[in-house]
Amino acid sequence: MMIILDLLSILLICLGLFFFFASAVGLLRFPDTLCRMHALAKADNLALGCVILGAMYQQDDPLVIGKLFLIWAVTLLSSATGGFLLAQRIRRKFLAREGEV
Amino acid sequence: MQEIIHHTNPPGTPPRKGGLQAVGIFVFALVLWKICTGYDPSSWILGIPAAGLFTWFSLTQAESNYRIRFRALPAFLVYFLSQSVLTGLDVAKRALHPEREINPGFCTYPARLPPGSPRALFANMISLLPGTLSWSLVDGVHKVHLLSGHPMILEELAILESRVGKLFGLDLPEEMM
Repeated sequence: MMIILDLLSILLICLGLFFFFASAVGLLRFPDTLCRMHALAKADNLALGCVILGAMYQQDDPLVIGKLFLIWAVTLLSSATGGFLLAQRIRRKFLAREGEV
Repeated sequence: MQEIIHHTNPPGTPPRKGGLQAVGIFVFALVLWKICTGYDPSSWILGIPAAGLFTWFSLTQAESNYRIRFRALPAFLVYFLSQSVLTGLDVAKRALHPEREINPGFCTYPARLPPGSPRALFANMISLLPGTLSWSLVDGVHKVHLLSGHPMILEELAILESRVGKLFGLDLPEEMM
């Protein structure tokens, strides 16, 4: 039973690492800032979710499991808000360049 | 554009703030405190007043007229998680594909949800669907950045919007007129 849990946790963490890798590649390869934000905002959340789910299987302490979950939830919130703020900043620069503001 | 059906809270009237809700928020705050501070019982000296302050603050200072329906939460979370996985796979595929399948553009989407937290949550959730990113929300119109345009995108946004509406107890049809 322990081996199955260990394997599952290794699998999830590897999956998380793969998504982190993909999002980093996207950050480098995508053509402009907005496209790069797609890579950052989306793949990263999933990657962190996988890593945290994998780490949870290795914990017995319910408080630590709760803390891991909280880390994920707060990261989701901050990445959605941060992404929107970044988009606003780019938008203002974009509009200024177009001469609309 | 369709009429939105309000089940209980029409905009402008403050939601019912029953004692049960206060107890729920207080317990939630205590759980958060416990998770953050660990097993030391002396931390409650600060924790209980802090949780009380949290409860008071969220009952009196929060601006929203709309409350999340907890009965609708599980279905929404399942949708949220499945979309997260699809979105992550989509971005990973585009990032790692030898020929970038990217053709960026914009589309506009008129909001059907009322202003306030439902509309804000929808704007944040747009960034969750594969290939879309919330770019701006001006005068009730969402402008959405697309990684590559595809014809079904407005339908997908309408489905997402109706899901967000259900979470707040608002009925929106799943398709636009």
